[in-house]
Amino acid sequence: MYVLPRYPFRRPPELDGAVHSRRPVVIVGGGLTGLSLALDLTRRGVPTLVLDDDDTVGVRGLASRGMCWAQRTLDVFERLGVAERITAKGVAWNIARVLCKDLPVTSYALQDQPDLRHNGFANLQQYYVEQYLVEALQSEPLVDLRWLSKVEDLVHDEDGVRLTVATPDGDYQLDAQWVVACDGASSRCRAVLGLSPIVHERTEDRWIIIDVAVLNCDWPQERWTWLDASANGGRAVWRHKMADDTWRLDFQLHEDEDAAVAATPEAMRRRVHAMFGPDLEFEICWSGVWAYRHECMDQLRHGRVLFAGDAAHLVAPFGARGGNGGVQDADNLGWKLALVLQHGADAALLDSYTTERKQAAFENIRQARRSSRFVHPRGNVSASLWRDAIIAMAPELAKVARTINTGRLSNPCRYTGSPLLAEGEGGGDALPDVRLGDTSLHRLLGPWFTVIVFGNEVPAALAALRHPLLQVALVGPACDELARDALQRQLGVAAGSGDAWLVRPDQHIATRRAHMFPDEVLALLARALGDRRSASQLAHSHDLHAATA
Amino acid sequence: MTCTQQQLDDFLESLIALTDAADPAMQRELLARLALALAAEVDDPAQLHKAVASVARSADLTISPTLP
Repeated sequence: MYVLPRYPFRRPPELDGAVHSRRPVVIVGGGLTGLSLALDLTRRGVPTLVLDDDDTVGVRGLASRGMCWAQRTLDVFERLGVAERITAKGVAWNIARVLCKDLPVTSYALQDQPDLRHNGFANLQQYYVEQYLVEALQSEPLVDLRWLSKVEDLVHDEDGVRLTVATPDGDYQLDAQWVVACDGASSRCRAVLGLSPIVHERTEDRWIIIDVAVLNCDWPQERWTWLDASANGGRAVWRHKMADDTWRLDFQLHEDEDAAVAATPEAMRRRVHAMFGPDLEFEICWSGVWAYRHECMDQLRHGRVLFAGDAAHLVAPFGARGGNGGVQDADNLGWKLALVLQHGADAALLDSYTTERKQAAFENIRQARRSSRFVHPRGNVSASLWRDAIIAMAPELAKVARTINTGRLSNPCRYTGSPLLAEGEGGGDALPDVRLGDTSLHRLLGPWFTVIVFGNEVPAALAALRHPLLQVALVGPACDELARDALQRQLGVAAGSGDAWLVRPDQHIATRRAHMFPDEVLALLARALGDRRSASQLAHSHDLHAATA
Repeated sequence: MTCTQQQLDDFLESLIALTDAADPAMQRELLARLALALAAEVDDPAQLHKAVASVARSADLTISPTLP
């Protein structure tokens, strides 16, 4: 069985009187979100300090936790250089089956996506993902990872934040320009600042996760969902394969079931055997009971403290939206913080983080609520009515079967309401990483903003464009016939159309244009940086950031 | 045109909201009205016949007109 790595505590120099200037960014919490953000920031040249109160990855042992990594998250990991390890270790599946009252209701094959660099998702225990992120960070000179370092207090004013950190060798203080709280659902930072999330739903619907290493099974590499399973007291069960022949089993508990009793080794073994047969040989790797909450902070930025991941919002795990949402928070915040710290962007740019990621959080909450209601409508008569009808008709009618909702896989949020995007310009979507011969669309992108031109030559109007945060990339020369077809299918654009799209550092599209002129690019860029001056004003001032080149 | 998954999910959401009536009689009436409204929108006898037959089959019913 996998053994969690242990990372040594190193006595911080502050305990010996060293005085350090204010750190640009301190991340509280070395979990999935914090580590992803740290890697993004350091790759963008921002010195980053990470404080984690534990000395390993994962939470409370070998908890699989987030274990289904969506395509958009894999694209983020690709940018951060860890995707290859995750997909190599992870498990791909593309068939999902749903049973109800022990009878098959429907199955569906998730579409293979040969046009795109990554498949729809990969299953891998969260502790592996975190380990790979830590190992990537260990070779980054700009990051300072401090284990067994617990934030006890946090005070902020308009200039910065002072943190009090408890360690095995004693407490010390350090100062930061910005703090990002990635310290989970029970965020200490949130509590210290007297902040609470808005709770949108809190249920008594409890589940027990039992991660098992199975020794003698030939279960297919598919996702199975049992609704109203007789062997589980008429409640739902999920089965997902992960790495190391480990399976994630989620059992919905009965309303009057004692969770403490259900979590005893004997009860868990009985439950697994009842569901999968008495001959199954397995070891329990981890177990835990959960009841879900849907909540989100009203503002994700409070002065110089920003909140990300579970510290900012919580969502039920239907559709694997928690972990994916945290990584995508980091993806959204990293470039904005880097531009504020290093390229003179206005701090107001960070307010767009709240707008964009709150929209994503609410989309996740909406989707998860729909799935959880389908799985277990509880007292909702109308939802039960339609659920029963759908399940009755699904075996015969494939179109009806499509409305079975046991969890819609996380898709990237389209930032429709973002103040950074021009209205009616078709922006906000994440740019799919379309394969182009032996490269891909994302590999053509620069570290900051990129105008991608669907053609073989840079249009004359853009040829003279110079900006330290911008590069122009030509798609045409990278395309073979397959790539041209893929672009048409995935983006609805011809490789030789001459269309020009402005793409943000987080690979979201800022605007799509048939033609683009330099002053428009600068205006769009300025808008994406939080500057609301007009195109003509910007064209005259030419460059609000050139001095930082 | 085939619905996207999101459109289907949104449609189911609207169905659940439409029939969210405490009174079963009201719920039945809303379902009947919905069937008629959808039939009016579809306006295709073959498709409608197919839909009715499909529901009957899923409920193990053999149906024939109750009046000649």
